[in-house]
Amino acid sequence: MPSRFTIFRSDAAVIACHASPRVLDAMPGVSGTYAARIAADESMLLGSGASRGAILRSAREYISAIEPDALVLDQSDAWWVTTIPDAGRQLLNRLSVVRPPDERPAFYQGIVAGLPAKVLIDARAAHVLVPSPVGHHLESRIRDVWSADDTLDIGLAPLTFND
Amino acid sequence: MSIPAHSLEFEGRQVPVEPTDTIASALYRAGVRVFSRSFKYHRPRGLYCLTGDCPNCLVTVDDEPAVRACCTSASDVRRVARGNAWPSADVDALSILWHVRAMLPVGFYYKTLIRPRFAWPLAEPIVRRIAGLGPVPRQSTPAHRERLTHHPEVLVIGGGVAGLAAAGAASEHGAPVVLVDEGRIGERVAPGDTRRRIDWLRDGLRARPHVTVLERATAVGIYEGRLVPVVADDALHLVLPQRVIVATGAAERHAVFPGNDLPGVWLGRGAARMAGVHQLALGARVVMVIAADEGLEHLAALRASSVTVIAPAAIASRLPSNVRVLEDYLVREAKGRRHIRAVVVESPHGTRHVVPCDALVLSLGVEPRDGLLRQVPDPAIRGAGDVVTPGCTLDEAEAAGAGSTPVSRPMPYAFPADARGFVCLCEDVGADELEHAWHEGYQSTELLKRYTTTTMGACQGALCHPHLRAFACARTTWDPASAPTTARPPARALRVEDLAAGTRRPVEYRTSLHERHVAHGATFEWAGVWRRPERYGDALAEYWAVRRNVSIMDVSTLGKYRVAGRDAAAFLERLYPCRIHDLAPGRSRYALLLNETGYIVDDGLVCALGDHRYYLTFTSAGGDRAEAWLRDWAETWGSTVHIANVTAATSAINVAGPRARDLLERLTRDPVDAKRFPYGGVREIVVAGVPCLALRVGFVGELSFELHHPSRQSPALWDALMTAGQAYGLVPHGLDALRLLRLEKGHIIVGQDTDFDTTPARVGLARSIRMDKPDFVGRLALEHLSSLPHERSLLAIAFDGPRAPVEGAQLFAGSTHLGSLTSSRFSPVLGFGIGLGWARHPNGQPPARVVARDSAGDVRGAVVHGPFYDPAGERLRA
Repeated sequence: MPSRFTIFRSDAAVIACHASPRVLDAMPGVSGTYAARIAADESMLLGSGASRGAILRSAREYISAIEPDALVLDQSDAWWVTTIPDAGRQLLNRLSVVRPPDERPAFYQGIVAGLPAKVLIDARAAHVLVPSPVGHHLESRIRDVWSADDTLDIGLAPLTFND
Repeated sequence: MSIPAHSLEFEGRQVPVEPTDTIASALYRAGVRVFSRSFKYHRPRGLYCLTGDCPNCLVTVDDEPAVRACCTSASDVRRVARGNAWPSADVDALSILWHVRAMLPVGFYYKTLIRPRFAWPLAEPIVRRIAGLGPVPRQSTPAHRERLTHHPEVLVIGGGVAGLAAAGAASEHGAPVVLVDEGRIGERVAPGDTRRRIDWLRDGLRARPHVTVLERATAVGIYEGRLVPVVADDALHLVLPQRVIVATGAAERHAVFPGNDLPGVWLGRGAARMAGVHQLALGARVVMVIAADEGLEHLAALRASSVTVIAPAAIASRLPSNVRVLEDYLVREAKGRRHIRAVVVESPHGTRHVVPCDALVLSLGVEPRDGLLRQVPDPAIRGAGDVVTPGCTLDEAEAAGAGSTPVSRPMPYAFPADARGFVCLCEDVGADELEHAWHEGYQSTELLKRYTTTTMGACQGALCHPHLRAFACARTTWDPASAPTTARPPARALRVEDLAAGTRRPVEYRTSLHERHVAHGATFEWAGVWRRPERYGDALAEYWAVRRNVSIMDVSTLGKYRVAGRDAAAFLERLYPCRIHDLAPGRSRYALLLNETGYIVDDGLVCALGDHRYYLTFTSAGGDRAEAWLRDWAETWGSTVHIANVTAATSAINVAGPRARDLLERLTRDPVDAKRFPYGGVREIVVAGVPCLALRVGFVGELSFELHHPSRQSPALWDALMTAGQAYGLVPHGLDALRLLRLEKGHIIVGQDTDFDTTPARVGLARSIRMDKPDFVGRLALEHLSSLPHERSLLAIAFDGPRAPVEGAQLFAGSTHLGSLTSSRFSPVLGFGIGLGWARHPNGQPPARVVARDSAGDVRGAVVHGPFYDPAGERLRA
């Protein structure tokens, strides 16, 4: 791992779509977002925090037109998002009980740093989502496994994706 | 002679330590020959294997017991002591146990001191005191270690020739590989061909950054899913590889003959290491038994003025000319008391001779150290080297590591019919004791293991398991009876501290208002997984703020769910015991959650939002459990509903007190008067610019508005309420005040006032149940339970005075014990003590009066019905 490294606390939009599988299957992509399929009847749209309102409106418009009883909720406040640039891939390997997939993009759920997490990996970074009530643990635990000889910075940045 | 780096303290004296010393070599150099006393008979034991396979060198290091002196570097050690002896390991009075061993047959604790019955409780503490490996330190602080995960392509366990070759082959094209070894690679191998090969292979791996080498790291087991925990000095490494190569080698064969445990009896590798690595002579007159080619390397490493070698003809012909050879002789006994002084040997013609000596070295070949390999049958796990082909050559080991098919080379071994001597050094089990157990009917390896404890000691069968199998093989032809015993993790002893690596700090759930609470000087307590303010200073002032003015409380920890869908009403109707279908939009209802046996598992509110949408709340502790509950039933019934857990995304602040409405009216334009927002109502309002779902609730017995809002806006809302509330003397309140406030209303806390078998009727909440509904979860059970006599219930008790007994105080009616208090506090507004407690109905009816008894004495009280405070509920319905 490099001797000086920066990870980011990311301002992210997390929109949860609870609808029937057929509606989610057919849902078109929303610009600037990744859609992570959590379950057959649940999809999570991830995007930049600044686009939260737009993503929510777009998702609601599409889903409610087909399934008025579906739930489309802004769950951004429920998640703490930390972005680890790809140069720190070994860091994620050290912290993740589930083996990070090799394909890109990739999405998986499992324990990271002892916390329940969802991880989205794009071409240049891994975005780790943990429940916001325990988010304060994630960065301290990352520091614990970081080499004491090196420097780890934590910055703030909007969530962006790299294809 | 090199200058010692430092010294260590050994039983009151300083022992110099060379830079490459292990504890064993440092002590041996200082003249220590007895390293321990055996587990049961307190026989003197000296260095034996020096490969970590025997128990002889277990010592206490810096207060930590059962440390292997042969594998532990002496450079960081302050203090070493030997244990399990009195008054000392050199002169142990308890060695008398060997001379009275007839009274201590195998399994003696099942037979001896059982009658009379008082004998064993008296004897047990003594037995425990004189057996064992040393006391666990009670004062030391566990070191903090992390828990790290690895996801290599290949995990190689063992840093010998085969393991290093395997790591090299696996990593050749860039695949990530993890290699682990218990010690420093090569440090236990005496100089020679093997050591040179290891060094060469190790150097080849240094240039590969994708190979991670963990030294002084012990793989303790292979679990299903191919999880291999590796305990190292710095961390617990959890390795989850795609493939595993086990190259744990082989342990030297341990021989069974009288006196085989005497100090001065060595296994070949141990002797070669002591002489070749640490340059220490074993003795002036050495007798050596060589039955395998490796023994020739061991002989070359020895430093002795006189060596007598016992060997078969094929090996004898290759011995150097300066050694005395006893061709085809057998060792029959080692003689000596605290150290070997002679060996009794038997010629091929049957005549016996006594050969004086001060060291006996046994190079008898090897047995696979295959405990790890046998733990999980998995095609992705293979062995390489000595662990599958014991006694293979260096070239064969290297080829096996690189992936070639191993050459099968069975090592026949027959347990001599007249064998005597120790089979299991760890547990002090002799061959005669195995014989004894066999005749008692324990006629299989598994039964012998459990009855005699052979293989259950520190070595976990590394030396004795082959003998156990051979013993059974010699006495039965039924294969299952002589099968290997089941291999289970851990393969090596673990400390609890190792298992706790990375978990020292509990996961603490915090609300979005946590920093506000810290700033207000809150003291926190655990409420399930959450850290919640217990109080902010004066809990009594917080209480009065609720009763007289207005207060706010962070209730964000409540479980919160949104449920929607065309089947939502029917789903909830079937889930809850109360009515749902007549709950109009904008209304809420208190609801119990029951399990299928009719017992209360949680409580909360059901709020109807209209358009097939509902908002549910649960307790803080039950919130996460509720998700599985909801989803399981929805799936079981095939309900078309959507369920979203919004607990973290939605925060909640309860505004409570007679001035609550006044406060809100300063911050909202939306109507909050009693007519338009009555008790039990649900409204969407904007407070201080924050959109809220407001619920009229009554947990604390005062006018209350529970404001549910987006978590990111919670600090702003809190600040606005605090600022505007100053005009009313607002102070926030914590759990301490909350518990008292709700108790005055007689409201239960699920989990404190309820048990696993609490029905609604037993806690006076039968009115929350609609048995006229056709079905709901728990209905059938409640129907059955209602036909049974009511034997106990939760009572509300008003005590005859200000003293409230402690929670847990026992309840009596006269001399009849009834039950205990679950909640108890002094009520400031009422002026007397109040409580809730479980009581039996000795006469078929709940008692009218009770006595609560705690360590401070008795307190009498009357059983009351209905809430203690504001029984009519006028204040909360204002």
